[in-house]
Amino acid sequence: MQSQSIDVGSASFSDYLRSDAFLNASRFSEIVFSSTAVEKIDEHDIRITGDLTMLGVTRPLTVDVEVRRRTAQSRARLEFTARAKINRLEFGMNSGFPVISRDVDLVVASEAQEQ
Amino acid sequence: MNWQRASAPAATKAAPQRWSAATIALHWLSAVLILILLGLGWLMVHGDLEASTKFDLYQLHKSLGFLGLALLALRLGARLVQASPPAPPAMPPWEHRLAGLAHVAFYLLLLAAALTGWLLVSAAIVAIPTRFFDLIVIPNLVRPDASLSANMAFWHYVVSRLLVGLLVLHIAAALKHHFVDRNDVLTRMLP
Repeated sequence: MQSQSIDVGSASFSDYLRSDAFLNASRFSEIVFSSTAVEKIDEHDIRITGDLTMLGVTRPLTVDVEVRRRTAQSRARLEFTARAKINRLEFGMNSGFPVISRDVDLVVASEAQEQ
Repeated sequence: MNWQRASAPAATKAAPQRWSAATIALHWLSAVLILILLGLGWLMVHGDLEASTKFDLYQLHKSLGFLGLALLALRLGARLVQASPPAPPAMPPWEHRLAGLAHVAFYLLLLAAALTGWLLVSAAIVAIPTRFFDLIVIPNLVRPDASLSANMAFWHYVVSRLLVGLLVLHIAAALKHHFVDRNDVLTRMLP
């Protein structure tokens, strides 16, 4: 994803997060997650392991994904909720620590609809 | 309410009966600004707000605070170069002295509010640049220092409470002059 695309609902707050205090978007334009393995845990849960590259630093990352099938509507849908925890200090993002916590909870919600 | 300078220029020139238009404008602009800053300060600290809204309110509070500091400098300058209207003849000396002290306290507290605020954001561990209405970045006075920032946050709060107390006294005194003493101390500061 593009670092520049961060939008937290306030132009000045977004600008601050894009600055070198956090994402340093002018220097590191992309945040990349590359999966290396996908493991099925049970009927609804999968675990994806891979590498996250942010601020020029690559660290392993495990993402737990919950998959829910919704069939109530006319078209079936699959809902994905991915959760991971990032230790931002590992990537050199030290601003505001410890007032701003070390761990960042990452939640990505997405949905696929049957065509 | 009436703080008359006893310096030579005031003594040699006839004292005006009203405050100058500039002084009146600065007084009411400052009054509105101080009330907004107090309300904003309370809301951004205690309000149940989204992080982004909170961020914007803090930035606005900082910009308005520096505007207040600029207005304070103008007001102090105006007090130094302009003669003040005379105290009402019936005003007892102790009340005149008390009014003078209250006005000095106002200026000192406003200066302290601005400086403690500037120091607390300068020393803050979460180094958020102070952008004056998104026009220029206000430089920090000191390096990040969590202990200093926390101390200044405490004193910024104390000063704001003292300002509220002094504001109540100031308004009560103005109303007393108008409705009890029936002098022109309030009306000569009206726009």
